[in-house]
Amino acid sequence: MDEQAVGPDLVLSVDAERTSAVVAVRGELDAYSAPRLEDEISKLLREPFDAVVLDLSGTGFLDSSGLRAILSAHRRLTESDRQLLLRAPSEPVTRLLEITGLTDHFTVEK
Amino acid sequence: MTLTAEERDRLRAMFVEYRRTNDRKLRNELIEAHKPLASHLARRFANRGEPFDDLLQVAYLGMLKAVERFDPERGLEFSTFATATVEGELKRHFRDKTWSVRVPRRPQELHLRLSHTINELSQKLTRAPKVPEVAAELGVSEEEVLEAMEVGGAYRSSSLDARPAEGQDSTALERRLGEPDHNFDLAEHRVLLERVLADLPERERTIVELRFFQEMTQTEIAEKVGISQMHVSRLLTRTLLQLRELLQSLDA
Amino acid sequence: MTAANGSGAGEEIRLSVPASLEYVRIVRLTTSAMASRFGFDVDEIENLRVAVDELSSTIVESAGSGELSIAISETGGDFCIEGWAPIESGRSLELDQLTAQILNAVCDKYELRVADGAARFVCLRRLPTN
Repeated sequence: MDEQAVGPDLVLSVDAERTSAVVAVRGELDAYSAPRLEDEISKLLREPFDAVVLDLSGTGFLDSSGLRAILSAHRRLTESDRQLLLRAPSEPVTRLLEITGLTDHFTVEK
Repeated sequence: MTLTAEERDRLRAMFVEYRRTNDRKLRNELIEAHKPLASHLARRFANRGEPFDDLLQVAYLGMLKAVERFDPERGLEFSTFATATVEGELKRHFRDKTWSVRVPRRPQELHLRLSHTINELSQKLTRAPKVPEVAAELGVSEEEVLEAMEVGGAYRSSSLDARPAEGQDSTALERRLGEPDHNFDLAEHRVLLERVLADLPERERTIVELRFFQEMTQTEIAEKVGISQMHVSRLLTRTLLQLRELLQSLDA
Repeated sequence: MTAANGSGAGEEIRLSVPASLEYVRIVRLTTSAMASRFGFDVDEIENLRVAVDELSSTIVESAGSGELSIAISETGGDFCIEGWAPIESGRSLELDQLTAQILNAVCDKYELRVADGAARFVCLRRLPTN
């Protein structure tokens, strides 16, 4: 596993699991830090992964910008015939998905 | 490991020969012969939260050092000498890790307990708890609870320091290679290394020398060089990666 | 940060940070702390965090340089958060559907507008009764 720090508030770490890339989103995914997730997805799109799994278990804060970054990831992956999966979304994440009615829009890993 | 008298004599002769000739093949044979011991020692440190593979690599590195340094004329049993050396390496490995593990640990742990505690209290109180109630239950300050709610586990100990913060264009694979790589046997290329070290910028060279030749811990190096331990860790990892690439191209 | 009064009714705090997204986090933390002080429970604190984050980010995004000013107070039984930042000339406030949806869920009442060269917001949430 490797990590890059975006400052202390968001840490993205990428790990490979078979043919998937697992991106752990630890910390706060807000307007300031969301672009980093977009960049990471851009990089992963250039690699031969079948799917990207967003591990949201440690996502302590999510706002509309963070949500838009996740939506964008979903769209870009789907457009290139790949999948975006959510893993263990934290309380803040599920609440925002419920508020925005987007719960069924995403696939949550079993 | 129990050896027959013949095996012991044979190994001893190999040590004598190795000291005389410095033959690398002989050295590697000696290491191979003692890998079971290294593995056994690594296992002793196995349940402390470090991946066993990492420990094994550290143990092998220790065994390499032991083989290189052992003087068969001094009357010691090699296994005694090797055990001390390998254990030293393993303990040093943990000492270096402990610094970064200790500092940011608390907010992360707290976040994990937080959700659980909030759920429990919600059931008990039949309503969502207030911050003072959560703080009391967890035995921490309200401030810490608020911070933990905000952060939700951003703070990491281990590889946060282990790679440079720059390098934005590398692929995931390249970034994975930037980790401290225990498969890279530094001492195996010692002669080449000295040649290649001369090409490094001064600070990086100093740090590598202090780490591998004088065997200082990262904390000690940090003090000596006047930078933070995290910075030492980052520089070491980046430098090791560069060295490995250099050495691989020289070897080829 | 200064307190305009002692504790209890009429208490107000003010906060100024550079008008950039990087500092919205500080506003979130301060809001959580104040919300806790006013007796909100953890779920409501989470809502208020999101509210102040969305509103602050929105005005900061159309602000130029300058400061984001926040005032948190209790007003007529409501927890009140106000924010303002000088708006860059020619810019307008952009509020998309997702953000509006979120704000409707987490604020009892909110308002976003441009007046006197500043982008402003107000967010109200009924104080807890116990």
